[in-house]
Amino acid sequence: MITTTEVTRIAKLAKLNFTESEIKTFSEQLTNIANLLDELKAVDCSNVEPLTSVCDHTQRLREDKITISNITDELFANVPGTTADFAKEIKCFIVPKVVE
Amino acid sequence: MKNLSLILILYRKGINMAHIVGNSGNWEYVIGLEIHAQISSESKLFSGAATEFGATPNSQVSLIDAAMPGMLPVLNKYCVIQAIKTGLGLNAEINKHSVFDRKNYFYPDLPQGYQISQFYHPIVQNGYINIVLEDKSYKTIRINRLHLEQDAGKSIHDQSPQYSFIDLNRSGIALMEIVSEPDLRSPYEAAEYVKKLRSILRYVGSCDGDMEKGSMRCDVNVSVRKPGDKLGIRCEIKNVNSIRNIIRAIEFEGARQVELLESGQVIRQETRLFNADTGETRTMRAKEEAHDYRYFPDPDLLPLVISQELIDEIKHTLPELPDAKITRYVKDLSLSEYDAEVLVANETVAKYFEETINYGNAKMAANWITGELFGMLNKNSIELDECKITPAMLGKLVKLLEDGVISGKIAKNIFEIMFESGSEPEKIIAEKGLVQVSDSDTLSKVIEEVLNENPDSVDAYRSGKDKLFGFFVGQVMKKTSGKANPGLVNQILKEKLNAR
Amino acid sequence: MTNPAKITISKALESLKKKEFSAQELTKAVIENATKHRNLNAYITETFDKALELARNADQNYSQGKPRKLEGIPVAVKDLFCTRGVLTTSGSKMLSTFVPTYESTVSQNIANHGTIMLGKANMDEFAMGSSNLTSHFGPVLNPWKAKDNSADLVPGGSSGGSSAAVSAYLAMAALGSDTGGSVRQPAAFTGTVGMKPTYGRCSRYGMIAFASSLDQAGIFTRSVEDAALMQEAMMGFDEKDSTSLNIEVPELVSACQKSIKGMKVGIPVDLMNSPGLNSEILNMWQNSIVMLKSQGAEIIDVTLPHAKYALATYYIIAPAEASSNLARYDGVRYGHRTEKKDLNIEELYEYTRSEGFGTEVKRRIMIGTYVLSSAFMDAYYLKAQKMRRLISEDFKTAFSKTDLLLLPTAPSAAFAVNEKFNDPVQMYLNDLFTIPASLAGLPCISVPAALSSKGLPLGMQIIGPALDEYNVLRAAAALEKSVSDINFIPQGY
Repeated sequence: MITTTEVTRIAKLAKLNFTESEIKTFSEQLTNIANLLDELKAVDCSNVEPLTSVCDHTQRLREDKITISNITDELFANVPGTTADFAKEIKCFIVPKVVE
Repeated sequence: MKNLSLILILYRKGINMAHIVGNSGNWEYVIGLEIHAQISSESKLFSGAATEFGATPNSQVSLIDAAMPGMLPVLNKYCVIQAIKTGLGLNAEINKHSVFDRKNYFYPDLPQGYQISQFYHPIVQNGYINIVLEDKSYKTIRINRLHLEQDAGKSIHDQSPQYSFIDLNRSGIALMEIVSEPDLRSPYEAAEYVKKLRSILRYVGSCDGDMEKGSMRCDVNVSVRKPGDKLGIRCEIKNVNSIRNIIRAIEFEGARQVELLESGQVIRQETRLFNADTGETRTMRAKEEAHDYRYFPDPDLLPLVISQELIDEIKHTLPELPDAKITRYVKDLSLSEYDAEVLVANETVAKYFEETINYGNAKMAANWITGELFGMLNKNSIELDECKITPAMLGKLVKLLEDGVISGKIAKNIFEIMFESGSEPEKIIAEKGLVQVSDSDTLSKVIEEVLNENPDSVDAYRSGKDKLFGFFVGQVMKKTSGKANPGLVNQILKEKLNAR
Repeated sequence: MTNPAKITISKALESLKKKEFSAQELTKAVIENATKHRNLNAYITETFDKALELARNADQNYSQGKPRKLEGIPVAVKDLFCTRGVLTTSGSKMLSTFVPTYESTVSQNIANHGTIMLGKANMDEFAMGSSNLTSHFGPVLNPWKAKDNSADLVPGGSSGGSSAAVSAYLAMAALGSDTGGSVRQPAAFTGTVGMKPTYGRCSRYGMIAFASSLDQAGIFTRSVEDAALMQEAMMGFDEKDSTSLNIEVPELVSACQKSIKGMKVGIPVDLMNSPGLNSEILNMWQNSIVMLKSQGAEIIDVTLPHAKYALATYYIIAPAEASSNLARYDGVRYGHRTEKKDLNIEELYEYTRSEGFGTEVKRRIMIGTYVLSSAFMDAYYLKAQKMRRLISEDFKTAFSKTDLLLLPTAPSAAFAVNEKFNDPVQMYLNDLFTIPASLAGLPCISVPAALSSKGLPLGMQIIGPALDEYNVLRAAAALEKSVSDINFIPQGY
C-alpha cells in the first residue's frame, strides 16, 4: 500500500507538486502498479546476477582531447523565462537566489 | 554565537591525541576526510570540453555538460589512468571491474539532475598513507576508497539580491573522491594527512593539489566521544579550502559538539559550512533534507574493465613516491628523517636535491638547500624554479667547500653572488680570487705578521685573556681577505702563541 | 500512373532512376497527402518548404547520375530525434519551444543517404504510452476505422504519428523509437511494417532519452524490403554513444528474397496458452504458423518461462531510468519554465515540472523514483535486473533450438480513442508481447498478417537472436509474401 504520505515524499524527491486529490489518486494508482510489480516476489533470484546492460562489450575509452570550443551561443539559444535576455547578456544561467 | 571559552583544546604531546577538555572530562576527536581532487586532464571526464581554470563563464561547456536532451557520456582514458596511478600511490587495490552509478538529486549546479559517480564498485579500494606525528612517530591512515566522478558547476550566490548565477565550466570536470577511514584523532593529524595526500597527488601528477584554485577540496567529518566509547554522531563540514581552515574548522566543531553533548543535547547529523571569517561552522540550509540519492548503474555507460597489463604498465611509469624517497635518503644518503621529510615534501625540491648530489655531498647539499637556499627564496619571494642557482651550481659549490677550496664563510658569499648573477661558482672564485688559503707556510707568515703587529695583545693573551684568540683570527682573515682556512689558522695560531 | 506517394521506397527509387517522375513530384505528392489528412494529426511540425528544397537537390543529384542510396525519399521523423534548427518536442509541453542546435546521429545518417524530412511526427509524451493519447499536441488518429463503427481509433504508441504517417501515405517511411514496443505495436495497429534492431545497432546520440538501456531507433515502412533499406541506412557505430556496437552494418536487402526453407521457427507455447488470449489473435498466430510451414520452415515449440514477469520487470526498469533521465527538465537551460513569480529554487523546479509534464509522465517518474528509493531498491530495481537476466537467458535457451521466434505483436486490434481505461495497468498490458524482446535487446519486427473481423489490421512479430536482423527480415518477408492477397491499405487512402 503506497500511502499518501509516501506519495508526498516521492513527489518531493522528484520535484513534482500535486493537489490533495491528485495525491489521493496517485496513491491508488501507484498501489495498483506496485501490486503488478510485486509479482516478482514469486521468483527466487538469489543466485542470479543482475543484468545492467544487454551490451556484451565494456566501456570504451576516448582520448583526452579538447573537441569542443566555446559554444556559449548554442548553450543559451533555448534559455527560457523572463530572465532569458539577462542570462544571455551575462552568459550565466539564472535561478532564484539559493541560500546555503 | 556560542561562548566556547570554557572549552579548552589541549594537545597532549607524546600520546599524539588532541583532547577537548570539557566540563565532564576529556573528549576525543574522530575525524574522517573526503577529498575531491580535480584530475589535471585536458578535457572533461565524459565530454570533450576544456578544463582550464579561470575561463569566462560558460565558455568551456559542451552540450553534454549542459545536459541537453539526447546527450550521452563517453569516458576519458587519461582520467582512468590517473585514478589508477593515484590508487597505486595510495598503496591501494585497483578494482579491475568498476561501475559508474548515478547519484540523483536536484541542485542548480547539477544540470543533469544527477551526478555520474561510482557508488557500488569504485575503481580503487583499501589503501593507506603514513603521516608523521608530532613526536616523529609514524601513523597509518587507512583509505577506504578512491572513485571517479563528475564535478558540478559553480553557483554564484552573492552577485544579486534576487538571483543566483550558474557557470557550468566546472560541470563535468573529472574528480577523484578520496575517502579516508575515520582514523584521524586530531586537527594536527588531519592537516598532516592532507599535506601528505596532496604531496602524493603532485608526485603522481594526477592533480596539482591547489586548494586556493579549488582543484583540491576537503569535506571534513567530525564527531567526538569519550575515549573508549563507541563512535558519536558526526557532522560533515563541506568545502574547507585551506589546511589552516581545516584545523580551525575541526577545533570549532569539536568544541561545539562537546558543548552540546555536555548540556544533554543530541548532535544532529547534518551538513555544515565553515565561515573562515568567524571561524565557526553553521548548518547548511539548502542541503538539510535527508537525501535519498537512489544510486543505480548509469545505463548510458558500461562497466569499466581494466587489465592487469594496463595496471602493470602504469606501475612502471610511477615516479618514486614520497615515502620511498624518504626511506632512501635516510638509508642511502644518511640524511636525518627530518631533513628527508622537508626535501621530499615538495617534488620540485626533491628533484633539485637529487640533481645537486650528482656534484656534491648529500648531507651538505641538504643543509644548503633547506637552510641558505630556502632562506634566500623566502626573502626574495620567489619559487625554486625561478631561482638562478641550478642544482649543478649548488652542487659544485658544496664540493668546493667539502674539498676545502673555500671556507664556509666564503661559500656563503659566493652563494649570494650566484643567486644574484647566476654565475658559476668557479667563475666567481676565479674572478674574485677567493680560493681558500690552506698552505701552511703562507698562513704561518701571515700569522707571524699579525702577532708581530700586535705585541700588546699577545702579552694580554699569554696572561690569560683567551678571548683575544678570536681577535687574532679576525686579523688573519682580514689580511687574507677571508680566504684563510679557518681550521689551519686555529691550529697554527695556537702553536705560535704557545711558542711565544 | 500510380500515385507516386503510394508506392514502396524500392519501387520509388527505381522510378526516380528511370525518371518516371522527379523527386520534386514525389515529395509534392506526399506533401499533398499530408496536407489533405492533417486531421490525423500525425505531424507536430511540418517542414514542407525545406523538403521541397531538398527535393530540388535530389533531382540535381539524379540528373548528374550521382544519386545516394535513398535519394529523394520523403520521410517523417519521430519528434524525439533532435533535428538541428527544427522544433523538437518529444510530444511534451516541457519542450514545446525547444529548437536543438544539433542533429541526432540516426536522423543525420538517413539524411546523408538522401532522405527528405517532411516533418516531426507526433508521439506519446516522452515516448511513454501505447496510444499516442498522452501527447501534449493532441492524439493521433489511426487512418483505419472499424467496419461498422465510425469511432476514431488510436494508431498505437508511442510512435503513433510515425505509424499513422506511413499507413496513410503521409510519408514513405518514418523514424520511430521502440523502448517496450513503441514501434512494433503501432505498426500492428496501422497495418504497417515496424522494425527494431538489436540494442546498440543504432546510435542513441541526439535521441531524447526515455529508458536508456531499452531505447532503440526503429523504422516504419510499407514493406519488409523498405525496412531493410532504411535499417541499413540507420545503423552504424557512433563513438558519441558508449552503448553503440562497434561492428559492421550488415547487408540486409537480399534477406527479403531468401527462402526460409529449413529455418527453425520457435513458438512460445506458454504465451500461446495464456488465458484470455483474444481468439482472433490466436487464429492469426495459428495461420501464420501454417503459412511459414508451407514455405518450408520447421516449427518447434519453445517456452519463455519468465516472460510472464516481463511486464513487471519493464515497469520497474523503464520508469526508474526515465525518472533519472527526465531530471534535467528543470526550466533552467531550455524548455518550459514556470511563469509564476517569487519562487524559490525548489518551487521553480516543482512548478516547472508539474506544469510541463503530463499525467502519464508524472506517473512514471513517480514509479521510477519509488522503485529506486533506498527502502525499495533491492525489492524492486535489483530484483527487476535479475529478472531481466532470466528473461534474456530464456531467449538464449530458445535460440539454441531455433533460429527465430514467432508470436503476435499486440493482444488486440487498435482500440478507440475514447476507450476508457480504469486503471493505467490495463494500458500497460498492450505491451505484453513486445516487452520481452525489448528487455533482451533483440532484433524484432512486426508484419501485418491478418485483418480482424472488424476489418482492422493485426500484426505478427518475429524475434531473432542478437545481431540477426538478416534472418528476422528474411522470415518477415516470407510472412509478408504469404499475406500478399490481403489489402493493408486503410479505406479512403
